[in-house]
Amino acid sequence: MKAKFSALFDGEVDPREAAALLSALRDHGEARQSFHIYEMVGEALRDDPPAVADIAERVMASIQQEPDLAAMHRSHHGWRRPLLAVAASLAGVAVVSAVALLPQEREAVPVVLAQKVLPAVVDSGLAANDLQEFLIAHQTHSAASYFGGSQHQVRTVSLVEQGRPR
Amino acid sequence: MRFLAAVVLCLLSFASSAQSSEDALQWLQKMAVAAEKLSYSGVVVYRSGNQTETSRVMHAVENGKEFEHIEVLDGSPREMLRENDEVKCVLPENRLIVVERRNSRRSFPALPRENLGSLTDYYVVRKVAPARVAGVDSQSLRIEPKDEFRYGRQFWFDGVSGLLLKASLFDEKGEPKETFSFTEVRVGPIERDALKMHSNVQSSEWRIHTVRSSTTKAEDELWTLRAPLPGFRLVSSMKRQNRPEAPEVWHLMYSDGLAAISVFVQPRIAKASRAEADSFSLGAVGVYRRAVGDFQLLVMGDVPPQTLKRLGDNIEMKHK
Repeated sequence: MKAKFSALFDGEVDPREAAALLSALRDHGEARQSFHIYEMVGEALRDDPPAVADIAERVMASIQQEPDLAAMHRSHHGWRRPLLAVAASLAGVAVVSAVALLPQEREAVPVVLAQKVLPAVVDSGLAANDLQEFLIAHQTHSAASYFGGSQHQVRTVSLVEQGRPR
Repeated sequence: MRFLAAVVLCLLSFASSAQSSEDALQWLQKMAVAAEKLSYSGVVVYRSGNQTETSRVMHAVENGKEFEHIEVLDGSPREMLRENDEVKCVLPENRLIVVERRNSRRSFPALPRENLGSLTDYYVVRKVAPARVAGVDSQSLRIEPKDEFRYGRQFWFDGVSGLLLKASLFDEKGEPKETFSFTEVRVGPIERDALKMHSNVQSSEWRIHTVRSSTTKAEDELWTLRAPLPGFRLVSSMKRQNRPEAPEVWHLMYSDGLAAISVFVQPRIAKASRAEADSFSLGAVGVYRRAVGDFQLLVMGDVPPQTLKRLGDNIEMKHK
């Protein structure tokens, strides 16, 4: 099962087989929680690709916040721990394969934990656009503190892409 | 006698380090003036974490007016256009133009840049070995924080004009978090056409968000910092509305002269988040969010996460 799981996330599985595999994994008792983490990563990748550099960190942070998952993370036995590590590192490296695979499963895969991985902009009362606009405001109004002029504004237009709502 | 010699040596070295720090601060001042007064154009490579982007940068000063145009050359062609204090950010992916009007520099009397000496209370500023950047033999300044509340920086600049050619921000371990670097640069007049917006924004799909903001008076401020954060001072306090239907937001800005932290406070909508606080980052800019009663606090800046958290946790509603 682990090998199939790995192949799945390496994008080496035929989409039809992937659908069946995802479904089986979802129903498979012990694998379910780990599967949630993959879903979390997948959802994160689907909805916010440019923020990928930070996803691993956020996945780990959200794992700490979730009592069940945190307990799993602390357990030193079984195959869950390596899977967690894989899930976190996947966020950083396997962008292409996960993105290539998961959108085809969009209808089938329920959103379980995604809102906790990503900044919960809507959930916490911020419109999605606001993050970008706050970044622009911060950069615009802090320009007076900076010495370099244009270089400061390059950051604005570069980072604003990362705050873009999907 | 030997003791006296040691004392004299010690004093001499202190005097020389004070002198070098003074020189370094003068360079910083020169860099700030050059950034405003020079007309220049070039290509900048911006690296943040493992992402790299190239942008074309133009800055012109004509008849006392300042114009700036930045266009990202990789990925979606975002643009930033500035005419004096009016900044337009063009976001083609969102079909959105955000128009901000920044406060004039003169309205920031508290800004440490006007009083560079206070920088050395929290940073060690020194000249380091010159280097070649964008084909220019440049001078370099290293700025090390004296505490854990801020990041270190290094600037490389043209010793003749003072133009900043490269800037790096370093994390707690001294690793670069962010680097801007000109790969080519030219100082001199710029054609007006080059300063115009390149995106075609004629289609009706485009929206323009003109931000309304006004400086708040001290007696009208609703939010305050309970315990000061070493070196950071309130440099501006505003109320803003991102767009007509958006809620009014308080915007407080703190700066230590190099780093800046914004605090945005806005009412929470009824559907409150389960998580009371969280943090993440947009490249070198960290973000910390926290719920305070019926309000949502968003703190962002290029400082370590613990600085954002400490500031965010100490913001409270004023007791009137």
